[in-house]
Amino acid sequence: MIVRDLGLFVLAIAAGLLLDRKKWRKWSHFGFACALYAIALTIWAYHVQSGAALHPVSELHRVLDRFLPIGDQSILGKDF
Amino acid sequence: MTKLTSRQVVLIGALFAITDATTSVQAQVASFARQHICVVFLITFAVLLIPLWMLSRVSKRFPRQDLFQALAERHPVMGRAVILLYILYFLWVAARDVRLTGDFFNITLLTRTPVGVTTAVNILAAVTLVRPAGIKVLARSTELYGTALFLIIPLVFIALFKDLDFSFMLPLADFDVVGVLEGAWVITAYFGDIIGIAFIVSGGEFRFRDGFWAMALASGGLLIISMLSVLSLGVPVMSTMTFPLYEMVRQIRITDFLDRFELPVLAVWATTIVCKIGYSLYLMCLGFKRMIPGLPGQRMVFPVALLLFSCSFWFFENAVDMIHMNLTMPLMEYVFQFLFPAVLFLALWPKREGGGESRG
Repeated sequence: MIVRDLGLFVLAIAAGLLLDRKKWRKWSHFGFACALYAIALTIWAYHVQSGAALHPVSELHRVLDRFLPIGDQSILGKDF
Repeated sequence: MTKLTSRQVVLIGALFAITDATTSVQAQVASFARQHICVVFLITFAVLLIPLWMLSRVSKRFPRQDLFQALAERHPVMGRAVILLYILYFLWVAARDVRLTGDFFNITLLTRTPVGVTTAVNILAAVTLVRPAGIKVLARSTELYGTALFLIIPLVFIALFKDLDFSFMLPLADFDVVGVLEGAWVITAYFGDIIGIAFIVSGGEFRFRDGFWAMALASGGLLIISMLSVLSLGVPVMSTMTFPLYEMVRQIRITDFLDRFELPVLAVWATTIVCKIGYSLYLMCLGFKRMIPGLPGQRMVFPVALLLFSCSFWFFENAVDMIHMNLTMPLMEYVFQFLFPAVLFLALWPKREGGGESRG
């Protein structure tokens, strides 16, 4: 499962590199694109391998939730 | 530099505001504001005119540049830092949209299709719109599908009219101010994405009038749809549903021929949300292009799209978390929707001819 997910992602990166293979004016620009691919792959690998223990926005929500006075009237909340 | 017509800007702005505000957040707004849900949209409309006015004034000061360009030129270091923050903001908005759409289709229609597949298809569709010609294709798609989305609203009204129960609006005098304000707190964050149009429209052509009509169209449209939902489902039922507007549209039966009216509606809505993801993608690429001079924005589309794909899974733990987040995340979003426009309004004050700062 993990190998399949990672393999598909690497395949997508390869497709992206193939699509944009021409007309890079500077190597630094190509390097920047590769850095973005690397970040994306790292995040994806972390997500599929560890079952992602840390979700940044969810964690931020938990931190802010303690300080906000707004009630928890969501679809799981208040009973009329 | 691509010129956008006034109509395109209005439709883009309206799509920015309305598309994902039709999802689960509606249940929360209904549970807070109850039968006075319409007041929430009036407050949102009025409040969001302030950042739109400020950004339109900033845009006018730089007639040959977009806002990112103006920032990078006036304040090379701090300006780029603000651009990076806005890139992260649009990444967050796009990741939320992608995940919301993926979860929505996974729950309602494509229950046996993995969320990853739905998400990948959504992002790929957005890439296909953005990559070949940037904003041009996106704006034309918006003209088509945005118009279709807003034409659905009177159609839903006509189809549902016989099922409306106006007693669901009672008691009218029992006005819960705190509840209405809490509802406005939740929904304004979704509508606030509209500030994206100020960054899309370049060359000082973003006019406040266009922003005003975009907000009017979006808040008016959603006000009607939400009211229809309250009048057909009732507040107690609406606030316990995950996707109340979808459930409302499912009620519509126009003879045997159109007994699944929700499918064409969803088809149009899905295309508009792809357009919105496309705009966020475009803004991220434009931001990178302005941060690093000479960087080809077109070649950034694919790497940014892959980053968006992985972030849409990494950022949020699950679909339930995304619903709870509607209460807390506005605090972060308002920084970009209200605070930063005010900072830009002051930081990009026009320079006096002699070199000093002027007050005009």
